[in-house]
Amino acid sequence: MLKRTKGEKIFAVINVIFLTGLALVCLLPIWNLLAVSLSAKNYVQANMVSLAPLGFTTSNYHYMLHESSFWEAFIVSAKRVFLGVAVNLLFTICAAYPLSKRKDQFGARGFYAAFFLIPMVFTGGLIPTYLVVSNVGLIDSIWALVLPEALEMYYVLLMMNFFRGIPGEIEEAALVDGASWLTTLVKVYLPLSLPSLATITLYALVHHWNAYFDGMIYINNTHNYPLMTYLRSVIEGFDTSDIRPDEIAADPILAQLTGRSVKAAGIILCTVPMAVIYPFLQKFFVHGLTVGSVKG
Amino acid sequence: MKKTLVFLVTLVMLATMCSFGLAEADVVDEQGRIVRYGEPVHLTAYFCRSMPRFNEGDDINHNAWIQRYKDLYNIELEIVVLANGDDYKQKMTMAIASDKMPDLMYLDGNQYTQLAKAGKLADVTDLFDLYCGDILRSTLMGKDGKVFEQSYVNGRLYGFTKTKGMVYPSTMLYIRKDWLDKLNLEAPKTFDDLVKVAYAFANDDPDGNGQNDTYGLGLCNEMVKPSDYGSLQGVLAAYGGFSNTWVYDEESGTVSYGALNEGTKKGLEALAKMYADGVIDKEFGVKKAQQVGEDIAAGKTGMYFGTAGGVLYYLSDCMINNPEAEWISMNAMDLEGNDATVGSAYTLQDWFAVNAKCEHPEALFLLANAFQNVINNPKTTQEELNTYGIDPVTGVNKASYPYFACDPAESKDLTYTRTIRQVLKGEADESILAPEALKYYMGAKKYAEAGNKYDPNDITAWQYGVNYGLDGVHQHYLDIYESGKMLFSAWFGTETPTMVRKMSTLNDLQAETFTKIISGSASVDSFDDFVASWNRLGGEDITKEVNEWYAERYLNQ
Repeated sequence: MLKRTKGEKIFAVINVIFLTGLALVCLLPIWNLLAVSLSAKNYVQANMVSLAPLGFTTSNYHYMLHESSFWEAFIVSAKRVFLGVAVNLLFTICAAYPLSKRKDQFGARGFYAAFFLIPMVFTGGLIPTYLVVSNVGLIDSIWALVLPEALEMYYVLLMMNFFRGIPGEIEEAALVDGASWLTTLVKVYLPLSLPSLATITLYALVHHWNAYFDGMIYINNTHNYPLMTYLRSVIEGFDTSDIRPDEIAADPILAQLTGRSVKAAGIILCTVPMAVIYPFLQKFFVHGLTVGSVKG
Repeated sequence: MKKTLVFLVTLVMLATMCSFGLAEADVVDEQGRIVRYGEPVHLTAYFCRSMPRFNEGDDINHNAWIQRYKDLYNIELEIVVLANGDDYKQKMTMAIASDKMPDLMYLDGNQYTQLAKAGKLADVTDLFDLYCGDILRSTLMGKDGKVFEQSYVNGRLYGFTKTKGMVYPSTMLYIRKDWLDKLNLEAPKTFDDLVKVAYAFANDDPDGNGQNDTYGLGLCNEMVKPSDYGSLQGVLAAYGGFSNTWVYDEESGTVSYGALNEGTKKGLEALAKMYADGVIDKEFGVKKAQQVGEDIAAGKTGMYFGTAGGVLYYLSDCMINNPEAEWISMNAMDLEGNDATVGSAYTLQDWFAVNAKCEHPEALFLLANAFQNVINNPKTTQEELNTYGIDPVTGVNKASYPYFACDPAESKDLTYTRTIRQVLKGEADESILAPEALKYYMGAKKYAEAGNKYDPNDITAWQYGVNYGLDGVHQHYLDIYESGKMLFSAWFGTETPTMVRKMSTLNDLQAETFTKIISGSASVDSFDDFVASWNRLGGEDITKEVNEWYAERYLNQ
């Protein structure tokens, strides 16, 4: 351990303070939401809740978790994430691998690169896209959430660059040993690409989990809403002034609710699954490097 | 070849005969109206409303009302879209753009007019005379039928607007009675009294905590439309000003925009003075009505102008947080101490229409009748209301499921309030009350008997008491409605062409100018510049269109 100079020590202190502050800026709004979601109505309504819940109550969570539409939406979202990520990965790999080859290996490379890159900049726009989805007959089906985004060009670029970074000699060795292109991809390239696959999986996961807009326009039946679209309809539409005194008389828990804390509870509930999965995927980022695979 | 043809024709004929034989004929009455379809009629519908609450096992396509349509008419209604606000608009736009509109739909004013002109909606002019039931007719027509007339496009009817009564002016004054008592103040009689109370509430520490943390008058940043908490309309009204009402002047015979008149300027001047003296929250320019509500609940604001809506909401929280709090309500007053003239409007929001491709356009009226004949029928029994209205056990309001539902053009609340007042005063007995009004009456009576005290365990009684009791909000509204102090906006049609393009800019200009004047960053005289720019930026054209609209309907008849 080297002796640290005074300047380095000061830097370390400032660094820690600065980074802690930055982390707090990100964390505090969520912490506040958590406190609001656990507070009693009268305190929330008076905007008195900051970091600690006042008049602790779980009725907001109780309300959200007892809504069958919440669970329906949860299942739709889970399905969507599963299908969406699988389709994303499949298409990304299939597109990125040929595009990562040299021009002399893959003649039509230039054409396909343009074919993929132009739509990255120019899109058809909302209504034409809707017309395509609608005329293909995908409206109201889970595939409307998966197929229009099957190929995300950004992932392809990422994957393609990663493939290019793998030494060509490894591929040559495989081909010399009689492996086909497909075998090379599956047995050589993919195992070496775990970090970038993990990255893409994570991006796709978060994207599919958080997407609400496509659910809003392609899904009509509210039973088929993905979680975020459902959450949005709760946030936009949940209005306790709609609740009549008769309903409160019959179900006193309703008197404990306010739009703000129900929304806060919803947001917390929807964030939890991602927050749980994230750390598990992160460990892949450091593994699987190609160090030492080419000698000499 | 010929043989095959003959064979085919015979087959087709046979098939048709068979199907004629099997198909049940529609039940038709002597006037040729379909009473009940013989074969089930399947109709798709887009429904614009927020997600209602359901009893266990029900949903929007499985409930008492859907069953009622099936039983009454053999109509199988399928609601394919249930959304609200922007969501609904987005979906309807998509449906129109892709030409895949449902059979039945809710439209906004512009969509209705455009689609009607483009021939995409079924012409129901003749069907209206045939199918519109008596109750539906009286609901739609109201006093003079002027609202309903808005549904004609080039003299033909393609549906009708969802009547909903009126927009309640946000000029109801709410005051903390306990603060008045503490500071030995009387409830204000004139606007000057009100200003004095505001100063006292701001400066004399009404909550007694020794800190200068209270505001005199709650004000939010909404400078154009009515708002539930902290509207400026009540202050403007004291001087004869308005924030968004079109006013007809008998002398000149023209309609002008109320936000441009001298009274509005004086009202803003009064607000600016209060702001400068620290009576109004320094941050009002960034506070929405909801945040003013939060100040009310926190016990920082003891006086504000608002609507009838949402009394249950922040006020009840205020009373939980401050058990000594007691609120009273009264109409906005003018300088002499009379009730001020306040601006109101008829609502024109949703239009009900049928797709031109739909084979059963009369369903529009059948479904609308099905609702009216229960909910707005004075002969409806409590039992029917339990089935189709509020569930007595769970309190779920099933009257939020029916399609093509609308409330009477003349506000139902006013009618209810009138009858409840008579019964509470002992001028009539309970039999004159509609079932829904009876419930309000019972609550109001209970509240009065308990000495007008808030009981957190009986929110129902409190809610009905403060709304319909003799000192209730709706009673105040009824007073100004009957004395003619509630001024309905002279213009209430679908937006004129220039409005569609310019009105939001003009509203922004108004909001910006008013906020600046109140907060003192612009002088009161800049109001005159505002009037000039308003006219220049399209307001003049709008005024012209509004006057033409008005003359066509009210003057040249």
